[in-house]
Amino acid sequence: MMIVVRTGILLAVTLFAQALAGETKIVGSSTVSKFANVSETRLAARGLPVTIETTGTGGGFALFCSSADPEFAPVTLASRPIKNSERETCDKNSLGPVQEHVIGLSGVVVLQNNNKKPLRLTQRDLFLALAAQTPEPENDCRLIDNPRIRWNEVREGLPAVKIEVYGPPSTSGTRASFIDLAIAQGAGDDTCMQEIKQSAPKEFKAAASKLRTDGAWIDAGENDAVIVAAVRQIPHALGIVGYPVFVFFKDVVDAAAVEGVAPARETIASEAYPLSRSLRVYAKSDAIGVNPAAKAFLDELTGEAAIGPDGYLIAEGLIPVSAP
Amino acid sequence: MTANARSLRELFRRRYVAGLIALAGLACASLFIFFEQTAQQSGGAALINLASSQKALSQRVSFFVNAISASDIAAERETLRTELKTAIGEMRAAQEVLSGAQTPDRRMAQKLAPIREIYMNDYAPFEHDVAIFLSSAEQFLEDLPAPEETTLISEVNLLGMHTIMQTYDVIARIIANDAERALAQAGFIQSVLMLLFIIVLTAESFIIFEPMGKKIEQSVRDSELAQEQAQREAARARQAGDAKSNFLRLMSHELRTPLNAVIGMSKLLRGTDLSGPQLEYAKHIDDAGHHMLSIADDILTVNQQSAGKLKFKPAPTRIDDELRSVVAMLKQRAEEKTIELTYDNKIAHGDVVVDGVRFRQVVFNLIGNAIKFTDTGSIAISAASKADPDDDKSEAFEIRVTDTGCGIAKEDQERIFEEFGQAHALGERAHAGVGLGLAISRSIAEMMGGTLSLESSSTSGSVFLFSLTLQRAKIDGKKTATNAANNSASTKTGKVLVVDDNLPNRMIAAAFLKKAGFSVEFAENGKEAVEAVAHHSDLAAVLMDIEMPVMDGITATRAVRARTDESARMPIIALTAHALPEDRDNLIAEGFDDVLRKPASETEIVRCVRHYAFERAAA
Repeated sequence: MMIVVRTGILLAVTLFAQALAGETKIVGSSTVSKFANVSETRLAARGLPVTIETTGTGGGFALFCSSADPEFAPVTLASRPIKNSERETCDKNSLGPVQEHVIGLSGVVVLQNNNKKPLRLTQRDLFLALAAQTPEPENDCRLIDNPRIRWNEVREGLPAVKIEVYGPPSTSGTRASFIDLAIAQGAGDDTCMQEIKQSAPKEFKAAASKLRTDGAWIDAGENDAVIVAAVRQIPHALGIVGYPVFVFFKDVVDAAAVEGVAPARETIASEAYPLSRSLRVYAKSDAIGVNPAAKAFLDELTGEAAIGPDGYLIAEGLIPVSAP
Repeated sequence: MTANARSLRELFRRRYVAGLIALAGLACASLFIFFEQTAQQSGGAALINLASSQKALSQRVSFFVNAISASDIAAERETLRTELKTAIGEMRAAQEVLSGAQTPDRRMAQKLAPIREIYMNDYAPFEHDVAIFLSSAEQFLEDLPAPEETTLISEVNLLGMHTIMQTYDVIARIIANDAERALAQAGFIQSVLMLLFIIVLTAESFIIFEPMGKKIEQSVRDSELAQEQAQREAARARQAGDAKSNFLRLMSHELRTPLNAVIGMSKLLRGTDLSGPQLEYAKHIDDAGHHMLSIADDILTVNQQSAGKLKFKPAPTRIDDELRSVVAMLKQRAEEKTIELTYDNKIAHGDVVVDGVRFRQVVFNLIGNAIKFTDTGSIAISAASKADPDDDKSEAFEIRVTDTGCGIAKEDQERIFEEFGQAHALGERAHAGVGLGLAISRSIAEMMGGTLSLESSSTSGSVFLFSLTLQRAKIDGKKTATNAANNSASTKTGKVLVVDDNLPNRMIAAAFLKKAGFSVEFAENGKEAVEAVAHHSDLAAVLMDIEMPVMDGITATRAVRARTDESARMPIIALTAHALPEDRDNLIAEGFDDVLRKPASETEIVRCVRHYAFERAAA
């Protein structure tokens, strides 16, 4: 935790220095940055350069809310809505009004090796397989360290292979989305966990948000290509990535269906796919007013040309909000 | 080896070699996989080690960058900068290996294949992340102004916090998984090889050892069957041979009995007052009888010889005595043809070990032949030792029979020694026989270790040479029975019991004995003989036939020998038509004092009876 705090401070210092040097740096979600990079390239061609630094959604908000300076992280990319705690930090630092733009939808995809039989998982399966603590139905739903080693111990009918899931680290918005959409939702679907939610809400919250650290879940860094490589090279391994990553690699990896629905443009747009999420851009209104590069970037990323039904980001895998 | 056996052997050899090659191939494959797997594992282990070390190094780099930035002490900063430089250098060197830019060997390169896409892909190459991380750290060392330094620190921290470290973790896991998979694969292949090994072994046992075993079993069975068959055949042949022998023995016996009468009666007839032509006729009867007798003898001997039953009983013998006895036996026949029969003895020692009966048979045959084929002149028998003064263990003899007969044509000279050779070779001659005599004689001579040959032959006569070397023996003055008989030219007489169921035979024996001055009692069977011995205490000897009704000669002799009085020692001479030498031995063993073969000549009967009667009288 010390390291994170310290890193946060250091990042802030760096960005502040860059701001002084007249360079606009955009921070935030690696998932959103895939789309933001495309816009950035177009802007650079028009002589309005910004630099995008992938920090993860959480890291992005930390930097974004730390200063009201117009040059200092005027925009952050997020693959989840801002948390109340984060908004409080923003308010504390007198950021002024903060704009929120939903640029499109994406999904969290459970990758699997394309030589394997397609998996059909439930959110509850993901909770029972990957939560650090799971209840013991035979023992008054007591929470214990997750003992499951193979998928068939999660649910009968699942393959008898080792649970080994590669996913992004704690700073990642994709990971946060995965925890919210899969683990927490899956916990809610479990009878024992429902009981715990009633009797001990705090315990439920903790259990529904903590991933295993015993080797079943493996933090694989912010580089999504590494997760794809792991899934490709380790046949029984699964990977957690954002939908755009899956789109990029869809020829070499498969996606598991969740609650019977496979991730696709249509299923995410209709939110039929349970691990769907919105991708957002947060901007400081004051900063936008005085930083033309930041304003240009925000306009570009949220404009019709990028995210409209025929927008260039849609071609990159972003699901338009207005999609049927 | 038969063609069948050869092709069978070739088939098994081929199968065996194929089996061996398959086993050797499997063993080599298994060994190769084992070595390859070991090498791969060590390559994988080295890479995992390298990835773990990179992870640690990335943490060191992050730490040193932050520590340098936080330190106010110049000396400490300098030390940390040196450490940072070392760590960057180490990490860069390892990066070269892991990214595949500089691979130490082929196996490590193979192991790098699964992680190559992490380093190089179109999306976000890890190589790029590491390059930024390391170049930021390196730039940090260049003492840049504060704002730039801060930017570099943030770069190092951003990457070092998660991505670099966790990616190295993933790399290690991918390699470990690959190694596990390779191990499982190798294990599977090894199992398959082992299974193949077992299959090949089983197949070998089925297509080589089992059929081989069956073939061996079959061969053994076949050979056993063949052996049994051969034994059966042999037994059958033996039975047939035995039957033939028995028949011939019987025939010989049955011939001898009437021949005894023919020869004996013709002899007696010639002793009566006959006219010139009558005497001539009687002589022809006698000749014919003797001829027939010799044929019967020869057939019997040949049969014995071909059945392998011709036995030799070597015993200390005086060669001179044997020769004299034969000459004496034939003298009368020679005289009847007015041929002079001479015997010239040039023997040095003459006491040797030989079967006298067989020896006499050869000499008898040679002289008999000479008499047969000589019409005028003489027959000279000479016996000489081939002196070898150094040899005191054996003595070599040359016995020559020289006649003044018509001689033998050159082209027939070898054939006369072949069985039945005489019939052809001498077919035109007046005295043709079945032609067994010389063949038998040569055969016997050879079985005694000697030779029998025609030394020379011309129209004025032939010379037969009988050579043999015999072991010397010591005979201490004691005279043989024959010798004794020959020399006991006594005039002693007495009463002789002639036992024979055949009237003519009784008549002949009685006539011969009476002529020599003996008085004669008769018995027609063994029972009468035993009674006669009991009643006539004045009997000098018994002349006993063997085959008789009521009681045979052997049983009668046993009965006599079983008596408790003086008569138990009665001299009993067998007069039998059983012609074989072993018959003689058997009879002696049964208690007979001597054995005369039918037809016995007057001389033989008289000499023998006189000898035993004299012995008894002397006792």
